[in-house]
Amino acid sequence: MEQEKKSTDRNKLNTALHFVKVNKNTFIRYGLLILVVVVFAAATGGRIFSKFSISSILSQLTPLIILCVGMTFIFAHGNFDISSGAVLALSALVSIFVINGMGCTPLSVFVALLVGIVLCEVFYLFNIFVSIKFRIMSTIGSLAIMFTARGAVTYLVSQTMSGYKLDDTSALALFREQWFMILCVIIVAVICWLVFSFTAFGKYDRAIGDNPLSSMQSGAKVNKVKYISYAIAGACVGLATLFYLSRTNSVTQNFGQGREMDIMIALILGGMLLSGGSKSRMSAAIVGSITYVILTNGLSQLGLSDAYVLIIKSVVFIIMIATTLRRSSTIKAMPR
Amino acid sequence: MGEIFIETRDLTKHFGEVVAVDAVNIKIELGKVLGLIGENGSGKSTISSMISGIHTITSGEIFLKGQPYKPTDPGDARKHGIGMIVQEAGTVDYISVAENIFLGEENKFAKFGIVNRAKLEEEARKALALVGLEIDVTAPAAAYNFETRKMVEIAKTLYYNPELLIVDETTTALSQDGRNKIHEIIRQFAQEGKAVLFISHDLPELMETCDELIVLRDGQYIAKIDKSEFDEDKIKQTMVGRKIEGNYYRSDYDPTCSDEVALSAENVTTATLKNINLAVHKGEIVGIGGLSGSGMHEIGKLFFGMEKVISGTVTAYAPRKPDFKERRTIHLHRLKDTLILIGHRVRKLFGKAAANPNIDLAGKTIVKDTVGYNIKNIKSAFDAGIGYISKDRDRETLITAATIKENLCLSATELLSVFGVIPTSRETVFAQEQVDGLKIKCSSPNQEVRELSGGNKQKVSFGKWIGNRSKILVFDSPTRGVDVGVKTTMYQLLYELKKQNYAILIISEEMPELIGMSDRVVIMKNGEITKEFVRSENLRDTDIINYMI
Repeated sequence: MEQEKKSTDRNKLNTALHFVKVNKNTFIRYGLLILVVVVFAAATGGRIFSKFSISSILSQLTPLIILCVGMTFIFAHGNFDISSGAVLALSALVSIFVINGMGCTPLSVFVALLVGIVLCEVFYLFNIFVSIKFRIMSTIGSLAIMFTARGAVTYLVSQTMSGYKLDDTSALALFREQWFMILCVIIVAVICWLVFSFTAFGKYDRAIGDNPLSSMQSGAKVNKVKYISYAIAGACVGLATLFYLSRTNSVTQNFGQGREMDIMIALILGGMLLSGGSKSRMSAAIVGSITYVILTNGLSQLGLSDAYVLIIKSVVFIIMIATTLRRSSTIKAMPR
Repeated sequence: MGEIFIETRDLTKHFGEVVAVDAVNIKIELGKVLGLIGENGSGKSTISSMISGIHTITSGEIFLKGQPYKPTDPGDARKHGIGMIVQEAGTVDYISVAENIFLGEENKFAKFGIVNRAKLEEEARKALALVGLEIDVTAPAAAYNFETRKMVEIAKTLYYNPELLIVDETTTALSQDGRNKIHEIIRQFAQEGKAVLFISHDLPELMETCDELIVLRDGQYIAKIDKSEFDEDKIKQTMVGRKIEGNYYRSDYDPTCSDEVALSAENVTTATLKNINLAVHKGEIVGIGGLSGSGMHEIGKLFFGMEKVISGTVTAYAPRKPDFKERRTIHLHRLKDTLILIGHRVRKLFGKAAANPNIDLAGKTIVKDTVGYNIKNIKSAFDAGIGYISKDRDRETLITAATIKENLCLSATELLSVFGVIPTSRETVFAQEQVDGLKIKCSSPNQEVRELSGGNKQKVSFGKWIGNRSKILVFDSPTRGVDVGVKTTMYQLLYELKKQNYAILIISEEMPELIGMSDRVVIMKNGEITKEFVRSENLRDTDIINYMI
């Protein structure tokens, strides 16, 4: 009797453990969010949820979510991108040229948005084109893109005294409106979530991250899926540009620096696997971004200097990579 | 009788559920060439791999000159005087021939960590002299053709002066000239009082070179034949000659099927296939057999658009694609069904369980007229409704890290979508349909495929294609790594599909399976079709083997 009870207990424990293992990423995603909220609410005495703090969090969160949501498409099929920060900077610079040149009207802002998106598309599609055509790792391609874009920004900025500024700082006032930020985030996130979770393209995208060969034999057009993913990511970078620009109204040579790392840490905090695959979820991008922004804001509200925040970020990054990285599952050799 | 170098006692190897080698006792004598022969999967290579330390032993023992011997890896085997030449290329392309020969042994030539190149190259030349080869040892291996690289490998093996040389199907890729050279080396090696274990599919070659032949079948030791008793027909009979068991396979002997061709290849030539003419009809099971390297697996790839066709055409006949208007009707119908489905789930949520709505996921089938699809890539094969299971299903057909549901739905996105969106409810119904229909043993459709047994994994692969309404099925080694129970289910399933007018092509290395299941058995050799047999009660594997070897 006793033994029987023991064995059923053990079975229950095993089932529970298995459940945790299978849903590890979901636990990480929401567990970390709850953890940072609780920890920083307690440590700052609730100050982190003051009106001022919330508006600061929102203005950082909006472009980050848009970026992360776009990048999810790239990470899901196992590619890697580190050019977003530099591309953001160049796109912002071009937007300034457009708005300053056309005068401060809603039309010029709209044109600046379009031009920015087109520019990002060019860089991202070129990246994946090179990667597919010459069979280069996309990370290496994005490294080259990063240097190109950052180099262009640095050169253009070096021609001026103190970087480029918007002539009329009210030009991007709309992008500082809270309702507009929330609206944009919702629209982008919902569209991307639908595409990622409920279309053949989204399903193929994730399947390719696990096994390109099987995906191909299941009807996925692997290269086409990769191009579309990069196009979506490019569009998101283009849109995020104006939100970042609206906060500074100017572009210096450090504009956008480190965004690519923010994206990566946010995604990992959301329980996304950097190797992609069928366990990728759009919620990782959204929840991860929120966790990340609360984490960085909380740290600086506690009075930590930027240098310490950076070090803490890197420690979190390493720990998260180590716990979420999926070790290559070896497929057992079958008899001949 | 010469001294016994290697003796195995009840040597056994299991790969999961499959017994590859079953309690085999053999003796390898010094001064003799021992040949191993058997069909694919008879355990020849597995035995040699265990002796040379590539595979571990499941149970049983090996004795080396009477001492227990348990190699941990090929390097260990080499130290014990055992050298092996394998079938595949074993040289590294972009390093020099000399470096290839001493790969991993550079320390022998090193002083204070610096390799003495001159000495290394000199020793490499000495090694090559053993096989009578004089080439530039500083050139990269890629500079030489396959045959020369193979000779380099042999030189590498001989350099360590082994007492037992294992030659595993090395000759298949070589020209007659290269083969003669290897035969000569083997003979000479034996004359020096050393032992050779020679594995080949080529019977005349074995009969000419070997002193003794051991015949294996299904991992078991069948017979030992001395040179004086060598007789081609007799050996072939020994290799096969199993009984076909009762109702394991289908029991009828009626090969009739529809006249309608579903899949055809006309005068197709590719890099490996020569002038293939083959047609599969609706309601017909065509089985393709041959030895490894005969091109039978390439036939499967050809019909799925994965082989580059040099000349000739591959055509599949299937309903044409619906036009815009028809697509709209189909999707509207699916939308209606989806709403019913969602309504049902909502009702269930509020505790008002009703009978499951009876919904055909395909929606209305409007298009009936058949057109020919020219198969030149995977997309065209997909459009024509061809389903393909690769021989290596874990790497090519399934996504083992994903769930059963995700695997099943991936090839059915077209079927599941409603105006481009794939509702979760349709996916759930679809996955459950396949899991129930194929009796896939799992905790739920959300279980990961890698946790399943071989047989259930294969059922998922079947479900991918049956589920997405493919009417032409090309299955390469469908029962590989599958236990007997599931095998029987699969045979029944295939027979049922045949009766439902599916066109089925089975590629198999197991002859009883081909004879037991096919309406027509097509035998291949060297990339060509050598013979076709129509289903009959009197068809025996002894008749077939002649066209394979």
